Amino acid sequence: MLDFDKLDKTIHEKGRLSIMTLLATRPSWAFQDLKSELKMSDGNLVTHLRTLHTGGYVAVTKTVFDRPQTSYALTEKGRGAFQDYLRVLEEIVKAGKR
Amino acid sequence: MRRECFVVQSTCMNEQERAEEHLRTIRRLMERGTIYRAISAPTALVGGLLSVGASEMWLGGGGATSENPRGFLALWMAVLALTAATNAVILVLGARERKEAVISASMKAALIAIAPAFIAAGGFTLLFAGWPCDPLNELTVTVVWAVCYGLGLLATSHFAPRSLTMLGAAFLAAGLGTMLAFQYGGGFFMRNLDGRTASFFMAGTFGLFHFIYAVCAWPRRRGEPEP
Repeated sequence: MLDFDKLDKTIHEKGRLSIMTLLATRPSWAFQDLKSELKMSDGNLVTHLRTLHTGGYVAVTKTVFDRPQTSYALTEKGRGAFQDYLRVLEEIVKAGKR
Repeated sequence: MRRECFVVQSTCMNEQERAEEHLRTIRRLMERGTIYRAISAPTALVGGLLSVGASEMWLGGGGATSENPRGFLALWMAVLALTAATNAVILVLGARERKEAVISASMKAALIAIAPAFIAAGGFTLLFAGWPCDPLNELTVTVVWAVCYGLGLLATSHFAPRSLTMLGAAFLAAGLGTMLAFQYGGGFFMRNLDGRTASFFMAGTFGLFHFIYAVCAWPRRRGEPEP
């Protein structure tokens, strides 16, 4: 019997899952790049990022050159949680095909 | 009892469908998120400057009238070597700044994608070295370079930024367009073909196209709201 409760509820939301996936592909992402890639509103993206940051999954780096820039990266905890989430998803899909 | 089983089965199916949908989303975003710029904007600028400079040197130095195909090749091989060295330095510095491995999986994928077209270009270049020196042969080899370069860049399109794909398409179009113009241009292009044509073609493609790419792809910093 599958235990759907194993799925991390913080990640198991389409918007946050998309953010986590993109963050897993590169060392860091600028806010504007995430926004344009995911086609989310500023408010929506900020809310999801704040949730992930509060959960300890995402690290925030703020730099100022000619303009302020905020970059996001997966933390070790976030990367581990994402890998666990993927593993559970694969188990669910495999179980469904049996 | 039956209704409960139906509800449990329905919940499982929904969760499985959702899991599959999420895995598809993850795969699509992973593919889109992985971008590798095989040619940086500064490299393109250096390549463009060197190409225009080499064309000018060949035209101004009387090379265009000399019967020296190896001189023409040597000049452009030097441009290629300098541009490739610049690209290597920029890639190494960029990787160090981002604290990544220089020879990353993305770089390997880019090299594998580009290699066939570049090997083909190298083969044609060796062939050209044995041909008699005339303007048509010089133009032919430069058109082959442009076509192969364009094909090489287009081969990276599934993980390259759009600007690099556009650059590849521009080279391919310029090369094929020039070939077709000379074949079906009613003799106009053939009549005007001389020792300068290949150099003009190189300046217009490897020079101008790289300048345009450098301007479009130059890194910009943008402001954004903070969460």
